[in-house]
Amino acid sequence: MQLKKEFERTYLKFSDKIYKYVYLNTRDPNLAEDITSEVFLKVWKNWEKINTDFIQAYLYKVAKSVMIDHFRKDSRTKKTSLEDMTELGIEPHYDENLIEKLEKDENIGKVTRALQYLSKNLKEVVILRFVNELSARETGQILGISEVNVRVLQFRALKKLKEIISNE
Amino acid sequence: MNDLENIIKELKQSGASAKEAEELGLLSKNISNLYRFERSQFTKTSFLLHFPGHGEGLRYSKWLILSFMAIILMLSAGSYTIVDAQNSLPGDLLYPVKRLTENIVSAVNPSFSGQMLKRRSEEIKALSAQNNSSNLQGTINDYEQTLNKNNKINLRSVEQSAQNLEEASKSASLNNKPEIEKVILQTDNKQKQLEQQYENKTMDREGHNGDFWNNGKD
Repeated sequence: MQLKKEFERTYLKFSDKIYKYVYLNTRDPNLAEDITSEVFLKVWKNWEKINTDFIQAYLYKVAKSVMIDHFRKDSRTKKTSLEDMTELGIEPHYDENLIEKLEKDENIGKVTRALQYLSKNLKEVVILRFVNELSARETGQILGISEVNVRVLQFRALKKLKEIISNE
Repeated sequence: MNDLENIIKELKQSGASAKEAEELGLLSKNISNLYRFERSQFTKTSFLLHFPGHGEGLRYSKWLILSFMAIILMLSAGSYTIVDAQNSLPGDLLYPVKRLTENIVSAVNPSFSGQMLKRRSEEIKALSAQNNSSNLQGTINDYEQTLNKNNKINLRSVEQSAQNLEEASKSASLNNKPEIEKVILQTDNKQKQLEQQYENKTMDREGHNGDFWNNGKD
């Protein structure tokens, strides 16, 4: 009972951040919702064994792994936990208003496009540090790098992002 | 939350000039403001409510939904259960209950149309195996309507439906086969269309190979 409540609190606290992280890596708002659901389904399956002190870092790790799996596997043969959900008659609900905003807002579109020009590590630093507004310490924990490195990368990322946006 | 002054300070420590640090700091704040949105409460509640073995904290709303469903059940199907109805086929006594519950769910959640498409394809498969021609044509029409008049269908549901239709075609009688093959063709087209949309959205516009973790060359 307690575990379920903890899980719900975790979902409500972090699912938007995971959604944004996935959205900015896939640029597909519907897929981002699917993957977010799948991330939390996977996490729930291991909930009893997870050290919730590091839950945020763990969620990003699972999100990254689900995204990699999604793009690696052949879409015709893969069997995902999300598919298990749909077989149970459960499909994620898509926030249509938000999807419309993401697709139509010019400024969001501009920054989202610009982010795709950054290398993996620079993009991740921008998403974690500025989109999801994590501290340099939290960002470092998730990426497995020091706080100093996070600061160096954020400087390079912002510089490059500014250049890309001004040249667009 | 990252404070602008702190970001500027960090940027200066990383080698930025005062002016550059200020400009980049403002850019970082603009990015934060731009993406400071949340998915609707309904989207989140919907996930938790339908979560397998879950939803303890939402017991009250779940109970309300179940009560509502129970009223429909009593009105429409006497002592049968809605769960039974979900396995019914066209022509069965409980089939209208199944369609009614689908309409209720899809009114609340438009993305349920993918699941509806899959259900129609499963029905076609079952009716074809039973050689139940009288109900098959109507179900094929329903399938076509769901496929063509809905833009909320996801690729996965279309793929699963295509598989069901292939199996239906294998067991179909000579009379029913052409109709099933017609919807297989439509399903293939829809699948290609969705794959194309999906590819357009996910592939990097500068020609990366789909491995989004390695794009860029910084």
